Amino acid sequence: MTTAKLVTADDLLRMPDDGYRYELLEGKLAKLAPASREHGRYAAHVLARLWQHVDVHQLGEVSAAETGFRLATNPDTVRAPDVAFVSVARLQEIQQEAGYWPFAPDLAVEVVSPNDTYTEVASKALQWLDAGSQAVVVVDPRRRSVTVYRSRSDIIVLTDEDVLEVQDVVPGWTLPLRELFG
Amino acid sequence: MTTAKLVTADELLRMPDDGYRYELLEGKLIKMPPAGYVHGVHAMRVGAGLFLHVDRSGLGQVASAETGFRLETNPDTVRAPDASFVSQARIDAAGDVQGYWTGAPDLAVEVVSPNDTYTEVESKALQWLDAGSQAVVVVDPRRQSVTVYRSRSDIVILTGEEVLEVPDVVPGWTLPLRELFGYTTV
Repeated sequence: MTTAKLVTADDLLRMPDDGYRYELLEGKLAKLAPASREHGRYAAHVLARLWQHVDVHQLGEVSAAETGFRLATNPDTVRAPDVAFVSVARLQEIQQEAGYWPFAPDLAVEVVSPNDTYTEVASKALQWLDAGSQAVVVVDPRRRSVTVYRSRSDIIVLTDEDVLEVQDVVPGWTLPLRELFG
Repeated sequence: MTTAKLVTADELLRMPDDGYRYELLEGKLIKMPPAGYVHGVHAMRVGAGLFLHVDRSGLGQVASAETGFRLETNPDTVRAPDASFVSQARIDAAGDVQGYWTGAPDLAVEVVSPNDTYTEVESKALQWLDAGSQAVVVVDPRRQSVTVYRSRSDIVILTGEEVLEVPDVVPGWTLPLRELFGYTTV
C-alpha cells in the first residue's frame, strides 16, 4: 500500500499558482473552484462594511477571501474563510507577517454557494469554532438569511428585519440584513 | 407567457403511482428519488425507537417517511419528513383524518443525504417550525451529529456522547447518539 505524502502549510504556501485556490485538510489538498458572481458580491459587501468599521475604530485586521488560517499542525490544516477578522489583542500574539495566520480568526464569515452541501457548511462552521473562532457568520443569499454560530448550543438564524452584530467580538459593528440583501 | 397550472394537495393525493415520491411546494411538484441506504437506515433507527416509546406510553402517533403534511393552502404545500410525531391531544382534536394531515407534526425528523444542500436543509427545518412544529431533528450520518431546532434562536448541535431528547414534546424519549451512529461504517 502506498500512502500519498502529506502536504504541509509551508508546501502549500510555496506551491506555484495554477489558477486554483487550495485549502489543506489534515495534510490533503482540497481544490476550490472560483466562486460565483453572487457569492463574490455578498462576500464583498460584508468585507467592505466590516473593514471600514474595524479600520475607523482600530479594532484589528480584516482579511479578504483566500487568506489562509492554519488551524492544526502535523498533519496541517489550512482553511480560508470568505472574510475574517482578527482582534488587536490576538495580533499582538504574533511576530512575523509572512505566511498564513497561525490560528483561527476571531470572526469567520462564510458565504453559501448553491451547491454547498449541508454537511460541508455545518462542518466548516464548527471547525472554525473548535479552532478558536469566537463567532462564525454564515450568509445564505438564496434564503436571504444569516446564521450566527457562537457555540454548539448558541446558534441563531437571522432574517428580514434582523441586524447582524457580534458585539463582544467586533464592538459597534452592525449590518442590517435589509442592507445586505438589498 | 404560459403559467404552469398549480397542483393542489388533493390532486397530489390522487396522482397515480409512478414509482417516485413527490412533495408540493406552493403548488409545484418536487420529485424525490428514493433515498440512499445510509439515509434509510438512520431514518429507521430514529423512527423505530420513537415509535416504540410513543406507542407504549400512549403519547400520540408516529408516522413513517413519505407521510405528507399539508403546511399551506392556496397554493398548497405538502411536505414529508423522514419520521414524525403528532401528540394525542392533536389527534383527538383532528378527528378522522382523510388524506394528508393538516398542519405540521409536533416533531419532524429529517435525515441528511450527502448531496443535500445547506440551503435546502436549513429551509426545510425552518419551514417545519414556521408551520407549527415544536421541534425539528436533523440527523447528519456523515458528521455523526444531530441538530435540534426549536426556534430561530434555539438551535443545538449534538455530537459524541450526547443524548437526543425533546422532553417537552416527546416526554421520556431519549436516543444516545452512540446508539444512533455506533454501528455506522460510512
